[in-house]
Amino acid sequence: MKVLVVDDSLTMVLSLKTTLTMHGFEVETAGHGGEALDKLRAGLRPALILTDVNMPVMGGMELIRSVRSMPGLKFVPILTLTTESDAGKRSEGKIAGATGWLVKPISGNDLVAVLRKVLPGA
Amino acid sequence: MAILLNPEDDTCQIALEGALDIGAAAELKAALMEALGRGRPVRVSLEALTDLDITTFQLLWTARRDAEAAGVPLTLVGPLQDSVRQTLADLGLCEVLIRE
Amino acid sequence: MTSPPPVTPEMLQQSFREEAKEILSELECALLELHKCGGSPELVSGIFRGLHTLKGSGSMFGFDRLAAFTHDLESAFDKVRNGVLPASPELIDGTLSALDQIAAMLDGDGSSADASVCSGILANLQQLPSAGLAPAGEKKQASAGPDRSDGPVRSWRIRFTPGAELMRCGANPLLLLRELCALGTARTGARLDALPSLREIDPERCYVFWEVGIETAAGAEAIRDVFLFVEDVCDLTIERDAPASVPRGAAAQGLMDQRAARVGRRATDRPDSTSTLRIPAARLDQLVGLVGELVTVQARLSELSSRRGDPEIAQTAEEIERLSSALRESSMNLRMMPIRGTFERFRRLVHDLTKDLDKPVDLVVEGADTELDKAVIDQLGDPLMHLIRNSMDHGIESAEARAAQGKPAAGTIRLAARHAGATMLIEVSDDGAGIDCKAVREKAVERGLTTADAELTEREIFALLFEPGFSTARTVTDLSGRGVGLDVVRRTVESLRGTIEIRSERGRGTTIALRLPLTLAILDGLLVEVGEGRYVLPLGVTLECVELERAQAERAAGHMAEVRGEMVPYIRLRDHFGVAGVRPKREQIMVIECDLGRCGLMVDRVLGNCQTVIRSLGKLYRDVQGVSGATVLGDGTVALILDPPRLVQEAMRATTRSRRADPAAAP
Repeated sequence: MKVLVVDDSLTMVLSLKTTLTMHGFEVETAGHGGEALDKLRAGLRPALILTDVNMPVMGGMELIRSVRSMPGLKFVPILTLTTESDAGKRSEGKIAGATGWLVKPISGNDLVAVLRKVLPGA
Repeated sequence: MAILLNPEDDTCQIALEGALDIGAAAELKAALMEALGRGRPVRVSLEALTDLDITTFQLLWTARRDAEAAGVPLTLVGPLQDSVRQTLADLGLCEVLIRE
Repeated sequence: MTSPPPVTPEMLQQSFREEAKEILSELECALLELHKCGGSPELVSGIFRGLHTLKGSGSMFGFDRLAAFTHDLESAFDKVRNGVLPASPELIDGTLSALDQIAAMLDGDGSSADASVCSGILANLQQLPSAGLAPAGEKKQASAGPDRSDGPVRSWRIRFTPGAELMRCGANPLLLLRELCALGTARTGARLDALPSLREIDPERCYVFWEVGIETAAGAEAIRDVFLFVEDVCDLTIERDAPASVPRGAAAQGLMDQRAARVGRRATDRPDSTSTLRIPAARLDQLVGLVGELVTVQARLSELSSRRGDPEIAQTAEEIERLSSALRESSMNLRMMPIRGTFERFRRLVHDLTKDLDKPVDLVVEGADTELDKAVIDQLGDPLMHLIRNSMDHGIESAEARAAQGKPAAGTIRLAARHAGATMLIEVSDDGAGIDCKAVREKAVERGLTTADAELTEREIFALLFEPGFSTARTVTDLSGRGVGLDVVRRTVESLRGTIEIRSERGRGTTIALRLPLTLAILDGLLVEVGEGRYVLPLGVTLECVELERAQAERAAGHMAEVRGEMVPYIRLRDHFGVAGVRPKREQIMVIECDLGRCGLMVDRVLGNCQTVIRSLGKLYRDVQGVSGATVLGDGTVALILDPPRLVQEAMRATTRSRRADPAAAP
């Protein structure tokens, strides 16, 4: 099962990729919304997208809105990566079309538990 | 999601296969509308269906309800795969879809 | 399934450290620009984003203190971003000093960060008008898990009615029901009352709603948590045992908070930094080293093939030559990076010094995108910092002195880089007082570096500044009192096979120019022969080559040769290296450019161009003057790499000594 991780922090990407790979997911990564969109337009069809909110070039909100307007991705589960104080961001993400959110810091088990909430067959 | 016209018994047949979810819902609705629009008996085969979601269920269920009300028989044909049964059970819809 | 990659928490921490350091330096630049130009929204969101990443990733990878400390800074810049808080100099300065503390928290166990300084910084931030920083928000992790057995088993009745938008955000009622039922023993009943006709149905909306009866030890909060992601797009009632309705205050409150949230902020652009790959520099060095070896072996092969005269071998050797040259080119490019990072670091230095010295100074950076071997860049920081400090301390006058001379109150320090042939030219210039030759001279005499009656050109006087222990500072300030003189700068630059040159005009300013090779690992040079020995002369400094007949050389007065109508002094390498034997009939003079002007090196023969890998000198050659390294030639013999600037200096000193010892011997 393929997960697209979008974050401008290489460390975050590495960490999420490690955890997800250990739980049997296949992980694609992008450093910002624009790169993610490029990959999706090129035909990438992840079962789930994890995206940071604040990113250069294209942030999470714009990415979510764009993804929701793409025919094959209208309903793909999207989780935003937020921090504790990001309540506003979380609901903003929901309004843009995100399925849910993750709150950093997050342990590997919590991560997978949240994924199971939104990802059929995970 | 092909609609096949069977000249022998004059029925429309729709064969569903794989896992159907909301991504395919619009297409399924169009297929069901077209099949019903012919005014002939419709058979929807669920044998090759591996999973479904609530939107798939809603379309199949309303199609049959509307067809029966219009006097056109629409049959959902099993047997259902176990994964499909499990999903229907979890949705609380086990006995609703197939009358066995 | 992929096997678990070997990524340890320590590796992630290290990765975060590196990333955080980059973010810190970007933040520093952005803050300084904000200070200077009052900042665009893009700049402020960039700062916010940097702090945000520090906080978020920091908390992920065990830097809790850093995360907590950064939180308040982030909140402050969120306010700036929203126009609630002005980007005051106090805020910028406070944040700048906070960056230093964050940097300290990154190192080791973070104990080098000063707790009292940290709390002082935060206290100051709190003082800012309308800062009123909010405490960290309530943690709302949706962490599903069956370990909710926090009470007696009770019966609950849950009614879940998806709203029109529920499916559109990728939610799936099936997963929610499964999660709910996993809390205990449940009966799920679906209600189909709301389904419209097939014609009217929106195929992408959920019309079914559910009633679930469940017996579980989990509390209402745990049940509500199942629906955390959809609470704004569904109708949910949770009732315990009896019909009495559970108050929904908390959820409703959350809903309102969310509705009040701001919408539509865009991240701003920054050069795309993500399509890059991070490689440890050591691995790159290894590659470059191997390529260097390959170039050497290839040279040996070419030499061998030309001796054998076999056309097939010759063709293969040529092919390998072409490939290794291309490989060399691309592997060198891997290590090339813009000097921007090094240059930008000095903005902070100048900003801080401006305050410390009470001298307003603008730093102008030019050519920051010029690329240079990382190995060279890494060693440039200290010399450049010293030169800038020098300019700030000794070059730029006080504001009053500047005003008296009709100069703008703020001084300017220019830091410029550009490519000049195979070398990189870096200039540090200021519009300050210029060098006072008289004072330099007096000081040098005082220090015994020269004599009061010595006739020195301006160039020679400037050269005294680079002598060990020289300092013209009138007071020992924080800046100049570090025991580091320009001699250290010179030594560093020379160890990079570079040269340093001073130009100065009294009252107008000083420019110090560093000329450096673009790369350290491989040298383009000319192979020359002196007696039996072979030497490599770096191409970067070589201007031209002229031939001199022995008779002509012997006629010429002293060691001077006429090159294009100009008399150029030269050094006969045979003499310098003490090579015995008969001089050839014709000798070659390689004209080079050094900080004393044009100068010639006389050799027996020029053998041709060569690319060589530099190896450090073994003990054997350590004492040979004017040689910077050695290389193995194609035929396996060793050639010494000449260091022309030092060679000239050595020769000059030798001449001066003999002149002092025996004034009559002067030509």
